[in-house]
Amino acid sequence: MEKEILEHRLNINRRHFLSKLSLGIGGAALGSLLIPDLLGKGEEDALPAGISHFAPKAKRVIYLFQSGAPSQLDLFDYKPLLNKMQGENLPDSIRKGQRLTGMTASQKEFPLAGSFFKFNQYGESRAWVSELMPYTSKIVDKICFVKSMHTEAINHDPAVTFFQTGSQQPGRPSMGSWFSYGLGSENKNLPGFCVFLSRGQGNIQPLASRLWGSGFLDSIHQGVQFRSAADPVLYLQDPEGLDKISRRNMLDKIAELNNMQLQEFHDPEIATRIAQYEMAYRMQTSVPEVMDINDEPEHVFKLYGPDSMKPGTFAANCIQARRLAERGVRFVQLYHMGWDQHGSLPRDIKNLSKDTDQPSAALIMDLEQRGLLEDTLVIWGGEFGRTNYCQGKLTVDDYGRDHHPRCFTIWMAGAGVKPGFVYGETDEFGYNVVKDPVHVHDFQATVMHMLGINHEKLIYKHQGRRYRLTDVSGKVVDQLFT
Amino acid sequence: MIRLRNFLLSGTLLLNVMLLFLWIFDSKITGLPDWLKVAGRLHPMILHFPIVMLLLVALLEFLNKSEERESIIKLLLSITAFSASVAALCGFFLLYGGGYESSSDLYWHKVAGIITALLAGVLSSLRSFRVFVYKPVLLAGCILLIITGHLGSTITHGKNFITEPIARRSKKLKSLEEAVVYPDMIQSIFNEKCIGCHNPNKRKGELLLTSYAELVKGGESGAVFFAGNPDSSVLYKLLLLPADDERHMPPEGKPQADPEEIALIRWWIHTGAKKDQKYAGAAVPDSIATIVKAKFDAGSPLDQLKIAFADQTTIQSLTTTDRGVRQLSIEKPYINVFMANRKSIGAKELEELEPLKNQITSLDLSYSKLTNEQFKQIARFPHLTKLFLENSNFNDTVLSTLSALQYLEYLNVSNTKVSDAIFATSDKIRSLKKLFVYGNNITTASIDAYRKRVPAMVVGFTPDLSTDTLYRGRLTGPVITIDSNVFLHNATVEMTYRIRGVDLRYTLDGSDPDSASLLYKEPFEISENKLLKVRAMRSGWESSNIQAFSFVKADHSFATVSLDSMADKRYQGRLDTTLIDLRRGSLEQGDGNYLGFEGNDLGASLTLAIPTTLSRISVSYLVRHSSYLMAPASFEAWVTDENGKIIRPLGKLVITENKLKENASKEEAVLKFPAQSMQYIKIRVTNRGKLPAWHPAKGAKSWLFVDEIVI
Repeated sequence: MEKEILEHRLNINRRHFLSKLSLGIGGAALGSLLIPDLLGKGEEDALPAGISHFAPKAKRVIYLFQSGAPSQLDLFDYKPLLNKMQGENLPDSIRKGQRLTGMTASQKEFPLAGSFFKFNQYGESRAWVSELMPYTSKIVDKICFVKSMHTEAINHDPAVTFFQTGSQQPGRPSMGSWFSYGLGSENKNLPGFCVFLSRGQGNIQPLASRLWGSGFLDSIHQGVQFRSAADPVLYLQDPEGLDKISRRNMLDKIAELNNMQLQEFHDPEIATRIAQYEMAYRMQTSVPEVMDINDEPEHVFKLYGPDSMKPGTFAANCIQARRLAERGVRFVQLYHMGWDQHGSLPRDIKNLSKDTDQPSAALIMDLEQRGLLEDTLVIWGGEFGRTNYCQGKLTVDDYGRDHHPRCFTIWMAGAGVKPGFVYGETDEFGYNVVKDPVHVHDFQATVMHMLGINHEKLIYKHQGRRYRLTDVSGKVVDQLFT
Repeated sequence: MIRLRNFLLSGTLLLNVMLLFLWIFDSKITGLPDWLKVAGRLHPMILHFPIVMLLLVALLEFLNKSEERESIIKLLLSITAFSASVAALCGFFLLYGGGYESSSDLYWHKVAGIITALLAGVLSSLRSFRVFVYKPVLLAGCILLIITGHLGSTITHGKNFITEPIARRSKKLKSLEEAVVYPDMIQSIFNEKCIGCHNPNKRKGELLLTSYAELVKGGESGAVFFAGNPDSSVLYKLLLLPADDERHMPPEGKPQADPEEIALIRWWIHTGAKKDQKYAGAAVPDSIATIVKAKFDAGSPLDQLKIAFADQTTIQSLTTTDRGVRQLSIEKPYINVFMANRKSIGAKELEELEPLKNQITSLDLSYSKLTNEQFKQIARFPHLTKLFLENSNFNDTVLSTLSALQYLEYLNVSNTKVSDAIFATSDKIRSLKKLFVYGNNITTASIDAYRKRVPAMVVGFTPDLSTDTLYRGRLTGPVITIDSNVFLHNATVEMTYRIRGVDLRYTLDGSDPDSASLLYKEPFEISENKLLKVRAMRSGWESSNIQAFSFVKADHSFATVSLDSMADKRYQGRLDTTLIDLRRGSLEQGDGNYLGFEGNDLGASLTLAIPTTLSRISVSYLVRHSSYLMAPASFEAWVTDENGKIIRPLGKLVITENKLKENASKEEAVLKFPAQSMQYIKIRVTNRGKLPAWHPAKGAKSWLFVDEIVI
């Protein structure tokens, strides 16, 4: 009997304990409603696929990447003081002991080199553009210059990697992959992220395919490189002797096998593989159709210039970019290589400007007249700037410029970007930013904002750490929007 | 205990009498000694005692029936009575200490407060002697208490203090076009953030912010703003003071003006602080426009319909490979449907979207093969703001469907079959802002007329580039593939141009090709020494620059070759055989047809299969000064015996270069000599060694790139 009483008491105690406990937990739970982040992020970040955080201004991006880093001082950032002080040494008060590359760090003198090219103001916005860019100067009222870009990297590969992935070290997903991940692809017959390369006459810096890789994201988000050759996407066409039906049957069987594996191992890469096979099958017809530019009217080739009829040029790639944008591709990335003008800049920059000036301007005009510019964001720019002093010996008819991460100019146009606007300022020497600096992460945050994504919320958890394109920084530059 | 109660009840009596007295004669009170003003300021603290006590009494009285409560209730009642009287008296002192202007709220607060205090005073005795009226009076006291408290809070914190967080923060304006800056924006900020104190009741600083007229009157320190000069206007300056500054407005603890509101007030004063300025006509900088849009814009007419969000599972179930259905953002319910570039879609795909017809605002049917009958399904979606029909078969027969879309702002019918009739339709769609008719069969004249008639419309159309000299380009040359331009029998030439409609004209006689020259149709062969000249032609374009290729028929070929020293490891071509494989390199040094030497010479021994009579030997090489690729300094050849011992020299050619060349070129050095028989030959091609003085990188090692030795 005594034992039963004891047990009874114990039961009561336990019951009491539990009921009190449930009250306590209930209270804590109520309290936690006020602090949503306290007990982990939960489902907050898991937006239904493809929904933006807020109304997007842009549906898609065409990024005209100028690989090798164009000289802002010879194209857009007009610094007459450099011409006045031609040959004089860069004052220490301006350089402030900042690091230089190994290529000029040992130089005893840093002779200032003014641009050999004439600058003029254009449009209602009175933006400065050099004579190297006659076509761009006609569209200044449609574009927005950011003259106060700055980056952390000082050499090509880390700098391009930084621009594309938000980190100087390889391994993170490219910008286009993040968008494909965050927003999905509109056209299921084409990849959401397409890449084109072209080469100018000049010092070419190699580009690795990891620059458009998906890093730790699902590989379905990686950029697909389109080539100018007869087979634009490699390994896409059926081998000779294999007909469509056999291919279909084969794919169905492979999918069946892959599905079995997927059921067993639940490896998302298997699902990706199944999807990729299907996408490739559809691309067998969609790619040749989009790549054949024979249906373009005469005035389009006139607009983009004669190079546009030559496959593999920047101009031809610009037309391709527009064709893909029209068909709902989210992110088209062009790279034009050859801007790395350490020496013979006056000669080489003419070639590179000629390659890119007309087609870039044409792309803006073409998108505009077709009603595409208002939801397409076009970006033109390199990975860093070039120095205001001469690399090597400054002569009467030649100069070169070294890498300069402290300031450079890019331009943007389209979807929600304030047209005819110049943002940011550099000092009279074109060496440091003096007003409204825009860091690469700020730039990325801004581009993401235009696509309706909060850069702090597009997150992927990998190996125990949460990753974003903008890493741990980045500030949206509101002033760039209309 | 009982003593305490008696003491409290007697105190209550005293105070209540005093209260009644003051109430009756309150019009006679003109001022208060300072120590009573201090007592008055204790009112906000003391008033909480009677509130709690009275409610506690009610709680015990109605819910607890145990015997133990008796003494507690009695004690509580006496404390209630006493504290209520003290609170009411202090309220009196606060009121007459100054700072409050009479208002109905204030009056009723006073009356209700006094009656509550008096009721509390009699409750104790009622409980003992008039039990049947005690409970109703207690209940009435509680109700009165709540009313008094609420009126008091209204006086202190302003109207709608309690519901403010859930009430809409700012009144949104139906149309920014018609908004007037002062009443619709500035006054609404005052209403939200200032009039809690600057109202006729409280008149803090003798300033009223309830209307423009009052604002102009200013406060105790005079005018609060100077039109056009915000920085000397108190109205603006006090907002900017740090929060812990005594003069900072709104005071600590009150809802603060946010930076956007401060910016708006500054802008309003800056632009003249006018009363009737319309927003539409004002000089609005971008920063202000952004603020106004966020704060006051009720959104598009569509936003004002307050369309409900669609169910995500419905959206998911309607998403297929051919039909992308996507809610554009989590903020708004609007859905974009993407069916562009789909050959297979038909009316069914549109019909199925019926459940989402209210949310779909953007529909992309471009590059589809829909018939015009099927296009009529568009009418299902009344809230479309963007419609993409470009590059489809869309024609005039469907235009009447479009005029029903009264929210449509963007219409793209580029590259379709519509005619000028589109302009009449666009007149009917009053919301339309952008119209794209690029690539349609519409005359320039009618486009111009329309643009003149509706200047606000953004119209996209085919540009006329014919008059612009910037757009007269020179064609690029074709891609020319030649299997070998040094050959023993024949060479094959193939030309390609990516775009149809470009003529490739060529000559083989050295003359420049023109429109009458040979037209390239298919690959052809060349079997003797020839000079091929090609140019691409297309009407409306400048013909391409002439591309020239020389074809050399080699009389003999070498059997073997061996190099004295290896080429640079990056440029080894096909090793030794590179020199005698009858393949010429292109202008690209890395194409695998070259041997490259950095600073070194090329020496080689060559063998013919049988003794042969020769009169010439040549070496061809690539020059690209920008990449340090120079012509050789000299080219020498000797006849040797089979062991490589020199028998006699064949000659030496010295090559000079004295000017920087911008472009790369293929060149050849030919050594001629009297015809003679030979089988073993030794050659030496001398590298210049260092870049000459006229080269920008003078002194650096020069490169030698050789591809072929021809006899």
